[in-house]
Amino acid sequence: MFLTIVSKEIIGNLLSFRFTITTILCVLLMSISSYTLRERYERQLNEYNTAVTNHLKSFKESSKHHVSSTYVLDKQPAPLSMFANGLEGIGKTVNVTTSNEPTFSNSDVTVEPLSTLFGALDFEFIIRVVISLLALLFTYDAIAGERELGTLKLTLANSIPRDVVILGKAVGNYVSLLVPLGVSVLIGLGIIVLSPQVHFDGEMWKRLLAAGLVTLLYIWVFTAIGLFISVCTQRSATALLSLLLIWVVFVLAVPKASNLLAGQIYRVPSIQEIQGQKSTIAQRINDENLQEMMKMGQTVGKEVVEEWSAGGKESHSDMEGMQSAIHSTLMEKIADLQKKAQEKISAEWERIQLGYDRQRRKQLELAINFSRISPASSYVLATTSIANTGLTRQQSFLRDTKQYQREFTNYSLAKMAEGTIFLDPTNPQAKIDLSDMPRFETKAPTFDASLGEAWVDILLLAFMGILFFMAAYVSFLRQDVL
Amino acid sequence: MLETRDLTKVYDSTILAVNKLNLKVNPGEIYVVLGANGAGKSTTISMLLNFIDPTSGTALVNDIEIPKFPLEAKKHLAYVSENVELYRNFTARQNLEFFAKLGGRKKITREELDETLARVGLPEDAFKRRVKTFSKGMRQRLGIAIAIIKGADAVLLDEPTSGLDPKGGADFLNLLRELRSEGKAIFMSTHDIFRAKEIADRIGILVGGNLVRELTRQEIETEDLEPLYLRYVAGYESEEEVA
Repeated sequence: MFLTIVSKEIIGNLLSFRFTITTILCVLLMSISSYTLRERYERQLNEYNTAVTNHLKSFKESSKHHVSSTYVLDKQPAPLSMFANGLEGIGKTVNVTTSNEPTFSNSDVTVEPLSTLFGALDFEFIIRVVISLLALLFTYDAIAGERELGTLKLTLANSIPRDVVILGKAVGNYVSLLVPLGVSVLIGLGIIVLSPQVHFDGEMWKRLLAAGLVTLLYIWVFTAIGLFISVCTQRSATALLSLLLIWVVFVLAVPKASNLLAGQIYRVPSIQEIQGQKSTIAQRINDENLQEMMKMGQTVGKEVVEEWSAGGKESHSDMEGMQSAIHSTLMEKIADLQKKAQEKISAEWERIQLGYDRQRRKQLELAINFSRISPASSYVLATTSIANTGLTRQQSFLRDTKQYQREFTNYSLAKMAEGTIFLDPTNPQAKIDLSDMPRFETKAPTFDASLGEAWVDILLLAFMGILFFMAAYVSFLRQDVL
Repeated sequence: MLETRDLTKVYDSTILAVNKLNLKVNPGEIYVVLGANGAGKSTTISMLLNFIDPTSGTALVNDIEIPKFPLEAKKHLAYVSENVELYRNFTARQNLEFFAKLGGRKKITREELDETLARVGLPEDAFKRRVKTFSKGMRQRLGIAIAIIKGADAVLLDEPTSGLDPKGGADFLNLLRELRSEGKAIFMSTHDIFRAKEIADRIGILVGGNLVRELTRQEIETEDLEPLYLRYVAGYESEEEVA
C-alpha cells in the first residue's frame, strides 16, 4: 500500500508540468552556478598565489634598510566556497602593521558588487531559496488538492490506514523533488571536479557528503511544512498562499530580522567609538613616551659627555667615538622605551578589544539563536560550518591575524633593538636577514570540529522535520474527511 | 449486509445532521435515499465510510462495526462520489490500476483493466487517454469502474447521476442493475426522484437528518413519488399546494 502511494505520487509528479519546470530550473541553475563558481574559484586561487608572492616580494623590497612596519597577508580561498560561499568574500587581504590592529580589505564587494548585493548563486543559495520553494510547490496540493479532486475520499474509502497515506505522500513528493535535484547536483559536481585546479581529498568528499545529508534534512523540513499546511487547508489555493507567506518569513525575513532584533535587545558600541577609544589611549601613551624620551635624551647626552670628559678624551676621533656612544646608547634606550610604550598600548587595546569582542560575540550569538527559528538559517549555519566558509572560519582567521600581528610586532621590535633598522642606506651590500621572520599560518578546523559546530543546527533541522511531519500526521489522522 | 443502528451525527454539538438513522440494505438490493441539500445524505455515507465518526449509534457492513473496525469494514465497501475528478494526468487505465491496488488487488492484468473499462461503457480509445480530457459522464463511468474492480459486497454512491445527460444517466442505471444482479448491496443518495423511482428497490426520504418515510418497491410503483417527496422535503403541507 505504502509503495503504491509513493509510486503514484512519483508518477503523478513525473507527468506534471511542475516536474518539467523543476528539472529544467535545477539543471540550469546548478550548471550555471557550478561553471561560474568554478571559474571564480580558479581565478581567486590564481589571484591568491600571485598576491602572496607579490606581497612577500614587496615586503622584502621595502625592508632593505629597515624592517617594514607593514606586511600584507592573504586569505586562501576555501575549495568548498563553490558550494557554500558563506563569508569567503569578506576581507581577503589583511594589512598587518606594528602600530595598529590588522585591517581587512579586498572584499568581494569591491570586485563583484552585484554578487554581494544579490548574494552568490552557489549551491547553498539555490537549495536554501529555490529548492525550498519548489518543495512547497510539490506538496501544497498533496492533501488539499486531492480533497478538491475528490480523490482523497476515493482513496480513504479503501482499507488503507491514514498514516500510510500521509507518509506515502510525504515520501513520494520528497523523492520526486530529489530526482531532478540529484541529477542537477551530479552535473554541477562533474563540472567542478573536472577543473584541473580543484583537488578534492578524502576530507573534502566527507564534507560534501555531510552537506548533502544536511540538504536532505532541509528539503524534508519544507516538504513536511507543505504537507502540514495542505492537510490543514480545504483548498489548494489557500494552501499555496499560506505556504508562500511561511516561505517569505522563514527564508527571507527571519534571518535578516534576527540581526536587527538582537541589535535592539543587546546594544554594542560602534567600531568607530572603539577606534576612538583606542586612538585616545595610544595618543596619551605616545605623548607620555615622547616626554620620557626627551628627558632620557638629555640625561643620556649629559651622562656620556660627563663620562668622556672625565676620561680626558677630547680629540676629533674621541668626539666621533663619543657621538657614536651617545647614538648607540640613545637608540638602545629609545627602542626600550618604544617597546614598553607599544606593550602598554597593546595591553590597553587588547583590553578594549576584548571587551568589545565579548559584547559583539554576545550580540552575534543572540542574533544566531533568534535566526534559528528559521530552518533556512540553520541550513546556512550548518552548511557553511561544514564547508568551512562560515563564521567560525572568519573568526579563526581574524584571531590568527591578530596573533600574527603580535608576533610581527615583536619581530620588528627585536630587529629594531638589534639596530638593523639603521642599516646604511648608501651601502648596497647592506641587507636585513628576514629568514627568521614569523610565518603566517591559519589552521582550518578538522572535519570532526566542523561537524561539531554544525551539530546544533543539524539537530534543529531534524527536530523541525519531525515536528512538522508529526503535525501533519496528527492533523490528518484526527481530521474529518468532508 | 449494510445496516445502520441509531446512527447519529451532531456537528459542533449543535447541528444535528443525522438523527437515529435505522436502515438496512440487503444483498442484491438498491436502496435510494432521497433528500434535499443538507438533509444528511452525504453525512450518512461519510459515516458509513468512516470519513467521519458518528456521534452515537453505529453502522455495520457484513456484521462488521464500521466505527470500530474501519479498515476491515472498508474491504467490503466500494464508493462512487459525486463529481469525482480523479487524477487528471493519469490515463483511465492508470487511475483504475491505482485504485484497484488500493482496494487490495495485488495482481491485476491489463486485460482485466480493459474489460472493466469496457464494461462501464468507456470507448477503447479512452483507456489510454489522460482523464483531464474526459467529460463528466466519462469520469463517472470510470468512477464506477473503480467501484466494480474492487469487487466489494456493498457499493455506496453519493449523488452519482448529478450532472449526467439523459443517456449517461440511463447507462449509469443499467450498470447499477448489473451490480444488483451480482448480489451487491447498493446504497445511493440522490435528489433525482425520477431516477430513484426507476432504479430503487426501496427509497428512504431524509428530512433534517430524520428518516421520515421508507417506501418499498410496491409503494414506489403505486404512489405518486414527486408530490410525496416534495411534501416531505420541501415542506409542503399538502398535495393540493403542490398542484
